[in-house]
Amino acid sequence: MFGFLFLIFLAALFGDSFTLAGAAEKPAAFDEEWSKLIAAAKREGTVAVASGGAPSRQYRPVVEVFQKRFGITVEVSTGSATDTVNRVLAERKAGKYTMDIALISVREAQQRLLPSGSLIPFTPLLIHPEVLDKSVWYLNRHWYGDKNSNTIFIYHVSKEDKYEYWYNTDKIKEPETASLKKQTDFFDPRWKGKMLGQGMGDPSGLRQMIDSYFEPDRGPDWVKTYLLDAGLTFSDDRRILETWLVGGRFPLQPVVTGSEDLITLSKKGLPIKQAFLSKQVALIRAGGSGCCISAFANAPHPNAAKLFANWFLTKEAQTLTHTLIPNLDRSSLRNDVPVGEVPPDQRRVAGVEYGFPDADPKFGARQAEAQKWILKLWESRQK
Amino acid sequence: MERSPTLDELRVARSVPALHPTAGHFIMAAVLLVLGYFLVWPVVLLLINSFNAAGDWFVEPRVWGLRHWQNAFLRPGLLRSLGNSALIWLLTVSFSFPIGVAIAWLLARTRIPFSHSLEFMFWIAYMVPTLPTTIAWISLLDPDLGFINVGLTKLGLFTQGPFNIFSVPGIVWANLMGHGIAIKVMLLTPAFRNMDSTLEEAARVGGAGNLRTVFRVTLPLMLPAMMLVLALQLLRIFQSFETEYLLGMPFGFYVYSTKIFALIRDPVPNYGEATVLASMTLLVIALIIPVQRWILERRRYTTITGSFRPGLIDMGRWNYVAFGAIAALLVLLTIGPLFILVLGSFMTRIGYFTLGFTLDHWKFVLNDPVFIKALRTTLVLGATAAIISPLLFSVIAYILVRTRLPGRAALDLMVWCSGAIPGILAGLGLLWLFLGTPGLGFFFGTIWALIIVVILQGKTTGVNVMKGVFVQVGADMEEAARVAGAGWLRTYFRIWLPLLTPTLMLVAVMNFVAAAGATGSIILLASRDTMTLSLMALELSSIAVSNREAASIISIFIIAITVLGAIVVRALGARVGVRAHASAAPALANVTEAAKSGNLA
Repeated sequence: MFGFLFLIFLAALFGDSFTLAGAAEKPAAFDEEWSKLIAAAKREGTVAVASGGAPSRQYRPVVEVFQKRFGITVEVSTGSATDTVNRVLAERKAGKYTMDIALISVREAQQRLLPSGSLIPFTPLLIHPEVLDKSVWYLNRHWYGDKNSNTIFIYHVSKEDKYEYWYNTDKIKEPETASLKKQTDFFDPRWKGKMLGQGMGDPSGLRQMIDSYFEPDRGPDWVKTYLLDAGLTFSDDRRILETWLVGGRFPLQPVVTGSEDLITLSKKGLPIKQAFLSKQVALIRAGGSGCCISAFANAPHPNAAKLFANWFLTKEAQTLTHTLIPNLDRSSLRNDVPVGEVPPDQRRVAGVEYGFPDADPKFGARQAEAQKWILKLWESRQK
Repeated sequence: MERSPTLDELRVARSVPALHPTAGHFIMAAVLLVLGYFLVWPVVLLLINSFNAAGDWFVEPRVWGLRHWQNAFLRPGLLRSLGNSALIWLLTVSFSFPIGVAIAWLLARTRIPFSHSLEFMFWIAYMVPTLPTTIAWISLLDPDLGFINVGLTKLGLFTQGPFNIFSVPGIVWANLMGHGIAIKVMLLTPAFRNMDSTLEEAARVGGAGNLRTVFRVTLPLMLPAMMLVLALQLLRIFQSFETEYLLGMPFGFYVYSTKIFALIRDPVPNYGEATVLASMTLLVIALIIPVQRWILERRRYTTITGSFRPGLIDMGRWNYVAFGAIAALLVLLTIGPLFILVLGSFMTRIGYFTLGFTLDHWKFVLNDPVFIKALRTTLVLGATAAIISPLLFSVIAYILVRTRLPGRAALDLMVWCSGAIPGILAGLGLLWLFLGTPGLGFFFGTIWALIIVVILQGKTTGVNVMKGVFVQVGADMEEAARVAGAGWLRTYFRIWLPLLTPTLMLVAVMNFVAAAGATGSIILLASRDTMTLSLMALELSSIAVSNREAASIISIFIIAITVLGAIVVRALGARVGVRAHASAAPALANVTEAAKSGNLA
């Protein structure tokens, strides 16, 4: 009995080393498997990737490298991720299987692809030593966004260690912002009628509210006040919001996502300024279609899918995502890729352990409940 | 007093057998079957599935129940949104309808200079997509930042901007400047042109002035056409969406269609409740069809006969005043939005002159590997829709108005009902149809599926516009052709086609525009290989990509190819159709003579 326990102890102690040693000892076997996989994938000729939103465009130069390297066509669907998912689910319901790989958000995958049985476990597809080597990934492990921690692989995350807000410097002078110290300060009557926010028809706006619901600095009451009582003016159109902020019609935006454009406008001398409030817990988040990769069941090109999945997570491909996509608003969970185009505020600080709610197996269900509650609140505005 | 013949009495079948019974029944059965399958079956599929109580149709197992029907009507603010929709519709129609009728009359019945060019400009106004027009008006009438408000404030005329686009009047204005006026002028002008001046001359000889003639003769004769335009507008009451959504949300103003859109765009789309809410349009249709039939059957509306004389009223110097007013309106409808579109495409960022100008957006679009594919697909779809749809719709309209074949009421209902469901829901129904029908799955993901959709998508407007013309044309020419021994097909091509040409051109252009701009109806059917320019523009202007400058460039391309298409259609129409105005009477007389002499070959 003791001997058996001792063996378990040894295995637990040196588990990673055994794995690494195993991986390191198998290059010849891997090379052979890899070559066979490439040959099989080439015979299939194509890999179909379901994606949407900005990432479906952002990844074009990256997948072009794959196409040139392996001579396999990559078809990436574009447009709205929800439309892509609708189409794929309708096809699958009719017994038509057209997609191999999903580059789709955790939320879409968790709430729709996974419950419909469209995805298969991703872990068994991983064979490339560079991907299997957990030591090169954040906190020495692979990260998944599903309750079984084996299907929705998270490779890119955005960092949130402070709250960002923006104001118009013509209408609000810097000393006035000194009164803004915590999140509830935005609800001071002096700001009523002066604030703007993203509507819940904007997926990022909704995502921000879901995140806020779980954050100690904000929470459900804050979300309720923000949506119903704080006197914000909402629009789902970010360009309209931007014009209002720059023109000063509504000079304060307390919750902001995708602020790259605002940063550009600010740098070009327009009267808007970014400011920050502290956050109790620094977080990393997997949001949007650019965070995660998963594999479809009954894929028409299973070998090409496997090849793409492995290649996409290698150092080379993850480096390409950092270097070929300008102003990337997130970064790879691989620790061994150069920062490239990732802006400084999105770079993880070495040695810091961030909260990572999307990787919590129970978070998906709680997130879905919060989403329902928020959408109900939002609709109640229309009474 | 002798009663005017009713529409049924006018139908040629009473005096001339329109079709050999067997052939006629066969054709009707085929039309009902094919159209029923592609037009009505997707709607029926949606309605059946609205009783599938599952929250996510694609994910959860099917459970039959009334949940969606109950929940849909318990949505907060539903009644208010209905009221808001009705308010916007009423206000928009109150302005656009009289203006549309007046302009159509001026263009068609008076000696206003450049009337055909002005009419063509209204076509161009119709070709400019709604979204860029609304954005352009936001840039002009935003209360604080709009160029017009800022200009008026800087001139010292006002202390603050007098206009606010984010208001009910703002929404109505944007609707009028969008397609509100243009579509009515487009649809009504050909009908006014088809009027025999003999009746107006008789009124004048009887001592009536121009105005009295208009109200006592011209407008009553135009009642079917005006009714159709109004009915088609009514059909859109719960579908008009973009402008209301963009301008209404900032001041908490929601319309019925916003509710439908929100349900479809939910993170987990609620197609069930969206279908329930959209199906309310069927009630509107239930109102439209009997009213339309009642009006059409009350009296006779024939305005084109073998002795057709298209005389025009000379208003003297008022011709030029009217020209100036219409030209000024056209500047607002076309030049303004087009200028903003083109200017925006060269701006570093739309709305910020201080950031300067650039060619980067053009390079971005032209270097996009999808662009050429999308352009090619759009051209194929546009051209197919422009060629096939008008012919198909004219045959359907002919069957509905000029024959007594059984099943006409069902066919009419089919045409109306299929227009009741918004594009994106109809797209879902079609997706099921293609995926669920053995043999049709082959079309899925190919351009053929899109071709079928774009050919049929303008049917409600197209068929009804054609019906309007068939009601106007007297039976004498067709009867003459039949007496001369011409068969149905020959009569159709030698008599009807030349008479219908102006309307066919109109429907061709409208379908070209609809095909080139289709998004909702094809978004679930298009693949990366069959991406269209409109889908590309939608993607570029989406929240996630938010490249409105590049989307403007795509819109410019769509407008450019549509204008070119319209020019080609007009040129072809001029060759095929009966010559307009002065030459029309002899041409019609020739057709009738030829028919009478049996020389139609």
